[in-house]
Amino acid sequence: MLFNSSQFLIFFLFTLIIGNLLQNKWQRLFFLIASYYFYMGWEPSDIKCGTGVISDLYCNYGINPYLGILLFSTFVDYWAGIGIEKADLKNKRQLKWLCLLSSLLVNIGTLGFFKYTNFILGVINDLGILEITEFPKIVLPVGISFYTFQSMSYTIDIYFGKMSPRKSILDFALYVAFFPQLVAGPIVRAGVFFRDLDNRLKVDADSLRWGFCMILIGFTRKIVFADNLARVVDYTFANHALLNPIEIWTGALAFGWQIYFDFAGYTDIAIGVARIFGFQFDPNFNFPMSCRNIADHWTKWHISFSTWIRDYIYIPLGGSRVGPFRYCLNLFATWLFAGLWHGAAYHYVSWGLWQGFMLLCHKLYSSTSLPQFFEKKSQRFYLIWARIFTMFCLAFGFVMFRAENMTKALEMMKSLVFINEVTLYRYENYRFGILLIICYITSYYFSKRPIGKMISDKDWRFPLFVLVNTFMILLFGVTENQSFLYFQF
Amino acid sequence: MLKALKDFFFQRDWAIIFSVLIGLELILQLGFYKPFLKKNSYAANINLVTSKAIETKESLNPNVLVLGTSIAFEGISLPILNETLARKGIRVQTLAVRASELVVQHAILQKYLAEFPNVKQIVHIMEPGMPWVDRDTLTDPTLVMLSEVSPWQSNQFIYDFEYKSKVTDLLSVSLKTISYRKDFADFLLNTSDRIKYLSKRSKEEKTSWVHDNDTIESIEGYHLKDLQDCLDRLGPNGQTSIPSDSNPDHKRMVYETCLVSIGVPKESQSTTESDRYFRRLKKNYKLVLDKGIRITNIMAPYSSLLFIYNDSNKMKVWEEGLKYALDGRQKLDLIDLQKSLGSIDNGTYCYDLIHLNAKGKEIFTQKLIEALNY
Repeated sequence: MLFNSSQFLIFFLFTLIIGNLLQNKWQRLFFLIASYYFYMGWEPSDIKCGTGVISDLYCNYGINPYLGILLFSTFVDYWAGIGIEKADLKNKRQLKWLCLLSSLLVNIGTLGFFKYTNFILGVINDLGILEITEFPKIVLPVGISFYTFQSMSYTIDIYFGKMSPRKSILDFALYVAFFPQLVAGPIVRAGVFFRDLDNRLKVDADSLRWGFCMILIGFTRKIVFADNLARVVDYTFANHALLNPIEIWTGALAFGWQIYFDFAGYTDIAIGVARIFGFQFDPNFNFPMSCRNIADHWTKWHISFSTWIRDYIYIPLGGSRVGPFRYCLNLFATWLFAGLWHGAAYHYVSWGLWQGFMLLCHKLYSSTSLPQFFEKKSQRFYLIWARIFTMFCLAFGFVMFRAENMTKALEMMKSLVFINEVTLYRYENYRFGILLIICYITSYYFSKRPIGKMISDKDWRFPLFVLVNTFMILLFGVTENQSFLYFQF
Repeated sequence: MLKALKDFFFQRDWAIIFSVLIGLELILQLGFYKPFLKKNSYAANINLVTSKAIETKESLNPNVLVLGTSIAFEGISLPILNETLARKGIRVQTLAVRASELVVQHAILQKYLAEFPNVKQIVHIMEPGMPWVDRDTLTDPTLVMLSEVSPWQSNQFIYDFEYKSKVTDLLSVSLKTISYRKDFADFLLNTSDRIKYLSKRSKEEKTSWVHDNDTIESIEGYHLKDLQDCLDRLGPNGQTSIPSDSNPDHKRMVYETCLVSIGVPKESQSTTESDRYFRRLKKNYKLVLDKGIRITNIMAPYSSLLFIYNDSNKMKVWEEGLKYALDGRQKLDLIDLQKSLGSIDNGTYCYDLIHLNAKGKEIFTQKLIEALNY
């Protein structure tokens, strides 16, 4: 079920009203059932009726077979959590480790099977080990990358004694499946979720107002900005051979903004919906497109994911408190993982390694006296230049992220650095260039002015906010139902 | 929670928000924005056709009305028609609107037919077999035009004409704030062009005719072999150069009509869709026949590239369908002018695959006069 569909509106109002008429475990049970229903609303596009038990379940009874994977992961992690605690109390270290391992194997195994089987077969093929002519058709269950990570962080935290396991399977199942964050994040930590579940935040008129504004701005970001930018992005990536570097740069930058608006829009809606239900999720984006450097960017972009890989991969590997060689290894291993998480393909791996490379360059550059020198010379000019430079570096990486394969990405990257033959006198998508400048300026402006503060400051600001967003959606919204980009991960 | 919801929805801010939205809707419903609509937009076009017909009804006093969609709008010259037929006492006015499906034509007839009490004949220009004639989903142009003609009755028409409608379609027909949304956006993005047009329009001379097609572009220079050839050569990856009687916009239009035409139903026998079309047509014709007006059906000409679709079997289906629509209340008066511009290659008369240019309009109008045989 998409947030930008009429079914969701009905579902949301129904869940909100009925859910709030119930209390305690009945309410949690209701939210859990509602979340599973929400998940079942996702239609696996590749299912062909009459081809087996899975398709029959879906076609004849409307049961989404991929719900089984979610339930399986939930049960394993719940019992793994309980097992880890019991083993710890009895001081059985091997059993404790086995419990954690079972959780990791189930989650990584499930994710690996659905997401990486064809990639691994492709690599085997490319290396010439085997000649595979036909790859299995595997449908990636929506949200699997998000809920498996959420589940894994729970068992890892219990293993390292950072939290106790949840005794109620109902609570844990709700943590894994809670619908606002289920299919595209944010990857909520168990501690945060159970904190709010145990002490539900007061839902008063002000919090409803805040939640409503988050949902509205989420829709504006998605329908107005992301879906309009999608036009130039789709055109650029489909016709790159006919375009010159300036037009391709515009398309690449537009893709950066598109994916930002799309994903940030989704999480804004998720956070807003969760707040209306009494949960306060941490922000997942904090205006990352106008950052002064790449390290700054990664503290503001997909925060729940970047902190996840920091806490569960980078730091356990030793982080930066190791020798230079090991530091590089840790950095690239972490970003290789980040690339693979987004998708099992060479271009995602390259994108991940490009992030690692940029972070390494930034680290090296920061350790020199150059930044201070430039800042001393002209701070304002330096900051503007740094932000623009960062954005172009990110856009270069976004070409790898968006291209369907590495061959296409390399072709486009060659054009971006003027290696291919070019004609520069034409700039047909200049309107989108102007839109990108507007996006940049407004993003910079709003990064200094949080929405919550803006709407609560003065009486007239809430109506103005609602009207401006309503008219933007009305006038410039793309009404054809478009899916969110991050659903594919 | 319920108290919180009550506090939230009963705060004064919502009164301000809804006052603004309702106020704007009222202004739009009262027609204050109509003069500012974008030139040649579907909304502006239907307003222009209907208002011109009403404006000149006293002076022209028509006894024949033309009804139809693009070919009727682009392909018939009212000045030629009226000049030639004046001595025979025939006075023709048009209610044909570009891209109007039957439901829009029905809305127009419902609202305006009573304004022309002396009309004795309706010349209905048909576009047999075209993919848009029997759609069951509502497109933006149809919604916009329905909203212009009769915003409050159109939901009933949509139901009667068996469309699969969504809530947003119904809202779009009834609420001008939604119906005009693309026009507003265009006004904001192209403010200077729109203002220039408005000031130019106020200086324009007024004529009795709503539109007289003066396009000179044709598809002849492209030497198209068939639809696939058109898609291959004129599409985004095609390398065909632009001939002297064309331009980039025209080339794009030709390509788009090829793209639409490739979806023309291939079946020669009657289908669920064609049956639905004739059920719709029956509703239209009931309005006309109830007033004692005679209907003459004209099969319109379009590019010879499309001749392959309309074989004799399909034409038989159409004949039967038209008889069904007339419901035995009138003998079928059908004139087939599909090949009136030439039966092998009529590219010189076609702006694109489904619209005539000025040359095509003149020839078709002459052929129509001859065929009507007053």
